[in-house]
Amino acid sequence: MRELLPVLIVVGILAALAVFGPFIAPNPPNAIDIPNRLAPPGGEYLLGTDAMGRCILSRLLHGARWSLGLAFLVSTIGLIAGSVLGLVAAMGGRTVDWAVMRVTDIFLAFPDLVAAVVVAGVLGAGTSSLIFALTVTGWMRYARVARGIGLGLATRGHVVQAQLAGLSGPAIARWHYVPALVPSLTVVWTGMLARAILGISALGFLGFGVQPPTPEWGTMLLDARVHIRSTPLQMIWPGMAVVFCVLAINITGDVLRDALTDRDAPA
Amino acid sequence: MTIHVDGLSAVRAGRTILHPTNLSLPQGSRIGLVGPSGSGKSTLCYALIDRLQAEGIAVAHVPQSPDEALDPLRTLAFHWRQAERALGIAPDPARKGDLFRALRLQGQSLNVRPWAWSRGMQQRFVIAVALLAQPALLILDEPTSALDPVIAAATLSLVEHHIAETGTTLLIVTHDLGLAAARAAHLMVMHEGRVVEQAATADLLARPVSSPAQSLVAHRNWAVLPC
Amino acid sequence: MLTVERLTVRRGGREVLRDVSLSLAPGKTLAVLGESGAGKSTLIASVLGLINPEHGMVSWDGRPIARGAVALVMQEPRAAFNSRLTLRRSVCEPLRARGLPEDQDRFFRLCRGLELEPDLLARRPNQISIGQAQRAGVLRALIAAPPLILFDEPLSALDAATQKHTARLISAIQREEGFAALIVTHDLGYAAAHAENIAVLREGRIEEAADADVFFRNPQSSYGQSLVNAAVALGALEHRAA
Repeated sequence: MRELLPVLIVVGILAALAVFGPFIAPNPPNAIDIPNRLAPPGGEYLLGTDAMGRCILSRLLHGARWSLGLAFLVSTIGLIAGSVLGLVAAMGGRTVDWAVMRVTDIFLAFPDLVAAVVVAGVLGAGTSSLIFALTVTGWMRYARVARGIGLGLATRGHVVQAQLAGLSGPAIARWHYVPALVPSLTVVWTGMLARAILGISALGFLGFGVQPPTPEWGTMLLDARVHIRSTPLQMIWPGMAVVFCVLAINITGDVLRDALTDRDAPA
Repeated sequence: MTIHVDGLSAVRAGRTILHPTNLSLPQGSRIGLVGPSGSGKSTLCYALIDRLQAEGIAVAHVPQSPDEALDPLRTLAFHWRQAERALGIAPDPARKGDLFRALRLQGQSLNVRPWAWSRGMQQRFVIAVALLAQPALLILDEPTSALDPVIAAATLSLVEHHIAETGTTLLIVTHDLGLAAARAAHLMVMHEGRVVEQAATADLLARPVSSPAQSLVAHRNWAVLPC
Repeated sequence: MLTVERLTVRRGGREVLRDVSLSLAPGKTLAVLGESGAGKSTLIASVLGLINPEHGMVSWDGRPIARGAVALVMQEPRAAFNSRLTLRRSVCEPLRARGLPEDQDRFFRLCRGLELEPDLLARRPNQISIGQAQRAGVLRALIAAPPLILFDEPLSALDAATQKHTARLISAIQREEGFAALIVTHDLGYAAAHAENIAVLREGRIEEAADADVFFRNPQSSYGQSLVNAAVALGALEHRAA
């Protein structure tokens, strides 16, 4: 488990931000201070204020819960759904495999963000349709990876032994497949977490995601857009938050992949 | 010419995996190097190969399985050309013909990938490549473990027959004393990184001195058939 | 009593086994000899019920073999164990799969018979020697007391001395437990030392089937003859005056 340490640290920091951000925020996120609207950084408001005089730092800290928390939720639902489907494909025999993988291919054929916009648009803007849209477009990679590894395991000695012993399908999956999937799926999960952060911000920016006045980062970008010429910093802060999180997660994913590459090569 | 080497040794990660060893391998002899897995047989071989090459003595090593020696994406002709190039010799159809006849490969097309041939043929091809260098010493590493017994026995007979004519020394490396005793005139027994005993095969089988040799001798055959 | 009757198996349009008939009594050992590609693995898979034959059948006492009534000892000892589980967990899997309790007395008795320290089984497969891993494989095959155990080249990954030691332990425990053993191997020495019956498989057919004494004294088929000659040439068997 030592390889998982960097992931745990970065994810831990981001999770802490999402959980405790609101408590360390200096101001209420939606408190309006018209006299100080569009204030520059420093002074009373550390990162300045937006067009309605709301504290940007506080909104960012509160927004972490939305941006990161939702990304975590979306990528984890995808992880569970995708790996279950992938395992069903790998263990269910040829016909099941064919059917599941063709469905996967069909979902993969849609450009995912565009598809998410369409789904969110059809269902109406809002947090729940955002989650649904990003999950529906984000489970396929897990399914492919899980199926690929699963097919490789099917002929391994210990899996054959478990079948001969008469162990049930779910028990074989639990003891012989899932542990072997964890390393690779963790790597995929970090990538999908980064993608979900981008997706949530993008949909928020386009107006399909979390709705104002909730301080989600993409929504903040949207609000700040009209003031980009006068106070560009207003847009830069939430943008930087997104970039930092995605970069941190992607680097973590790379470190993790390097750490896990050698170890799980078949003996 | 007898091959002499003195003071072969190897240390890895602070542990001596081959204690200083002196060897003398008379020309044209067939020698068996026997010991359980992890006793240092491979280490001794690699040290011996390094030393002989440094001294300019040609030595060839045939791995257990042809899979280790042949690239499945390249034709056999390519492997042969590479071997010639590595040795810096011009293509010599006569020599190739001799080797292929000796190893019963004549008449086969080399313009195929290794897997188009049976494993026995692949192994004989690897041996032919090894003999191309006209080595003073040919090392066969576990020559039976990757082949079926009938094929392994036939291959060994062909090799022994051929090198008896050329005067090449043969070193058979194996964990199986039964095999070494059946094929070699001299035996060296290895145990925990040392050569603990060397003797003529008949002597060693009749009067093993060291305890590793005694235990190998006691368990050398599965069963004895009446004559 | 294991009965394989006129078994024909087709794979990828090719007949891999053709009209193979064998029988094996409880407590006895049958060695199926043959080179790679002769159909040995297909025979094992058929007896295990992993593939369906084109025709013919495999039965135990006249009934099809149920899952769990037959166990397999594999060629690669470590690969047969899940590297993430302790050996003890894997070894007891056949019991757990059928909801049977772990019989401690039996477990320790089998461990003793196979010269496995019970503490060793708290480890993972890559923390023990390959010989120990294979004995743990035999222990797993035995744990639920199946009437039939298949051995697929059980010794070929071990070195010569370990092979003979392991084979002796298997034979001794077979006498105690009384299971029927079907050994698929290309090692005639092993067959000569430990099997009562021999079947020679070649290109999917049974070339010769006989009692071991008869076969090794005087193989009838020319292929059987060449197998015995090769085993002598490679020192697995030795002719010596009695």
